[in-house]
Amino acid sequence: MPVTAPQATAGVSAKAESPRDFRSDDSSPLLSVRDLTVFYQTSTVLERVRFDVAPGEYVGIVGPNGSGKTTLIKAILGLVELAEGDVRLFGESLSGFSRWDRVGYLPQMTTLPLQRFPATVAEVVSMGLLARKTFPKRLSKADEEAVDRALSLVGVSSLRSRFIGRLSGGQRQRVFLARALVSEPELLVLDEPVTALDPDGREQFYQTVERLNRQLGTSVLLVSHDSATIGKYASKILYLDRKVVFFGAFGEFCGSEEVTRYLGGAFQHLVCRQHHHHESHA
Amino acid sequence: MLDGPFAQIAQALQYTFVQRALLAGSVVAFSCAFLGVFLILRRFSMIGDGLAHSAFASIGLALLLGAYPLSVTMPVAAVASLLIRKLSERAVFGDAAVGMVSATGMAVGVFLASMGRGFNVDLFSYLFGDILAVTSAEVWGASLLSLVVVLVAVFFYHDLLAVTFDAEYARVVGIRPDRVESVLLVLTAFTVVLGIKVVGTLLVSSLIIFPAVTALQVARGFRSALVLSTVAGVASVILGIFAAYLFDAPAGASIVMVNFVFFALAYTGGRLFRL
Repeated sequence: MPVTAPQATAGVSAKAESPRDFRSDDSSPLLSVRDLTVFYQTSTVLERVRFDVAPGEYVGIVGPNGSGKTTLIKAILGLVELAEGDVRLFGESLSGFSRWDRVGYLPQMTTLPLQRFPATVAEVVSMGLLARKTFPKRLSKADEEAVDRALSLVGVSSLRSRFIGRLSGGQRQRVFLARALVSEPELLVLDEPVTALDPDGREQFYQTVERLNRQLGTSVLLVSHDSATIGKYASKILYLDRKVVFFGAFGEFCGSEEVTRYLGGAFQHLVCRQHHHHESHA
Repeated sequence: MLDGPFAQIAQALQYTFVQRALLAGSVVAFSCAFLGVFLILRRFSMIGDGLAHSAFASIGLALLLGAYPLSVTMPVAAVASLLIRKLSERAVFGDAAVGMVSATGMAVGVFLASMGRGFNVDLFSYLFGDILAVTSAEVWGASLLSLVVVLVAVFFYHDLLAVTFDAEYARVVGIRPDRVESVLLVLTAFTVVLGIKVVGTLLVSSLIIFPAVTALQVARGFRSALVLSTVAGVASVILGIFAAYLFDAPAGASIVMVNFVFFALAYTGGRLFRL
């Protein structure tokens, strides 16, 4: 099947702006990605990717293996070099952006050898506060309370003094979510957060994130392999295959003939069925 | 008249060279043990070996040129530490980078030793350490270095912890892992150079590895790991020097043996009490 889909096919937020105007119609985007291109050695990993995330949006990034999902996340966070294009967080270009406390990041299920790492859960979660600290970095009583709030928010307060290396995969992932949340970020970036969790753990995790999105208005950018489930929670979907195949609201995704032509309909059907199922229960 | 081991130790403490050995050994052990916690958790356990071997080459060079060894070994070891970091970052695995720098350093040292036959005996004192011959300048140098290590720890504790735990995440919270690691490795290089005088090139990595690994068996948090590691490191040097004095044994080897006993106790205790 030829890859002929245009950029941001039916994109609601992928509007055609002039370089001076990064604002969408309704509100300033928290995140603007413009013509983002990333090379890895001689191959192009991402090509002219464009999309926005507005306040309160929950965007699910899906796509096949090797489609550049994680690279996109890392490019947004300034962890990989951009060959071309621009990423703006809260209206500021990445090179000048310093308010990383406004962004919470949960990396892919860590492969770090944590077994004998002597850090406690509280110590790990407090790392999420370092972005707002200036030299010399000190944690205050208020910071300790923020750590407690974050642990409570994800339901792992009882683990506060435990070693991070002695937790189960699911517990560890919740602790890392607490670390992402401890600075009360406006944008939460989650990279395949449920990969190592069992079905119950996944459901609980997604519900926690959904609660944050609905109750606190935290914007969410979530990369997922679990395409069927993401349809239940995300308000928008970004289908990535090195380029943006589709970016927009679920309704448009489900009704898009162009997406059907590109994906063959099976994926679309799976996602949309889950989404409708969820909507009818909501 | 000497009655028992305590009396012998009390008498030994009267000697200036023993006092210097204890002081220099303690401050070097403190720095090694403190930095060791970070290095081990960053999977750079053998960097002490690599740096010591590269320092060995530069000691050979200094002796060949008739220069004061520390004036050559300090910068060479610092460059070697940054080279290991660069190699492991871009070209090869971290342990392979350490191995490459280590083998090259040792080869150059042996090569230089074969060129200058007259200083072979001096070079061997660096291989096995000669803590009882520590000079006042070396005591001051080691003390100053320990002070720098303490200051770095106090002011950059959270950065060091974050980078050691997950360097990529540390970048997302605004920390520069490359800078933090470079500071850590250069401090390690200086510490290793001074450690060579205490236990020698062949054993200096034990001052980095043993106390930290011992502490990790029983620590209840990151801060407690740092405290326990430095306590174990300093205690091993003091007890090792006393043991060497009492049994007329080599000081470097005695220090390593004490470290092994500490580890065995911590390992057993950790298992018994499920720490």
